[in-house]
Amino acid sequence: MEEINRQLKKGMIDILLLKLLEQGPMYGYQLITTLDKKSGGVFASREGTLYPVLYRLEDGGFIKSFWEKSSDKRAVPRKYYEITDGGKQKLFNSTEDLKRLFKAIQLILGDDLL
Amino acid sequence: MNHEINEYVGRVMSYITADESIKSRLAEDLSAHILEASQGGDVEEIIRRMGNPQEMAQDLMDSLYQDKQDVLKALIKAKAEARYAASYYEYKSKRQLFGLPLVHIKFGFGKKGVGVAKGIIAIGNISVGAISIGGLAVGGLCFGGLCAGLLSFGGLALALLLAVGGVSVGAFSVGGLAVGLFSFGGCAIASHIALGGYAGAHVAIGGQANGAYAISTDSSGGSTLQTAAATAAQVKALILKGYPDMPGWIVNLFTMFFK
Repeated sequence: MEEINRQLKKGMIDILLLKLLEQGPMYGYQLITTLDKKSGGVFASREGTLYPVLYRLEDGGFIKSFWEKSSDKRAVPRKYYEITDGGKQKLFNSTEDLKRLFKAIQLILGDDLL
Repeated sequence: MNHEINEYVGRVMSYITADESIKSRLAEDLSAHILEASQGGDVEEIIRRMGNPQEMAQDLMDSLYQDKQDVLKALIKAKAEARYAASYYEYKSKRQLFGLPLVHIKFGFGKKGVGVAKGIIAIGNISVGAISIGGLAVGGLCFGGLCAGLLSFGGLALALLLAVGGVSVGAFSVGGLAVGLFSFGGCAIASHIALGGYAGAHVAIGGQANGAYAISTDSSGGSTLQTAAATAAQVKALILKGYPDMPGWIVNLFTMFFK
């Protein structure tokens, strides 16, 4: 069950990241902590392991990144990620696919899903 | 940047099998991530929470590669790179002269291309230097399969001054096939003086000699230098007939082969 759980989370992570970035640019650490908080800890992942997913999305043209230099208030430079138009389209398509998938699962599992 | 972060990230990267570009991206982001996470906190605590470098590398790799095929491709690529690294050798001396290392040795083939050594003394697949030794050697004094320079010694030797080789081209050339102003060889062709089994020049001495001034003993059909049964005095006279002002040391070079 542990492996299925892991694979399910892995399959969902792209769409969740795109959804978060749809609300505005975010840096890596912020994405990870937000994902953790908003999912009630379900999508808490080891720190840093989301970066390869971000690279895949960036290489696919679904998000883009930019560095914001450190300032007087903040000593650490930040690399922000923001969603592209292609990413928004992918988010829309993936959400539609997911709806169909959940609907089909619900048809089989019925009330057990709740 | 914090030494502990550098050390941790470096150790994580040492366990990762991926392109250098991906590794550098990961290292940069992981470092920024730890810095961000440790704002107002303790770096050691953050690193401890992240787990040991091996586990972190495993998680990153798991996230990096989506299926078995990706993993296999990365492993094969890593193996090829390791093989290249093993066959690669480079040494560059710290001491420099005219902005070049005193000694530069570089051998290897691979994605980084062929090893090119550049130094005062250069040794490599391709070498460029005052003293240059290599498959392809270019410079002042060159030794190599194919070499070009002031003084060249090699399979194919091209030189401004002296070329010695299987095939040699130079002001003074010595070789199986020697072409130059002054040539010595199995087949010696020169604009001025040639000495050889076959000699073709303004002044030609040889088994078979062809020139305005020639000593040849090929009437029997032989074509080796030994068959040119001339004396040193005859050769000297011939050269001075063709070139009355020829320096003595050049004349001596050609007469030294005869009694």
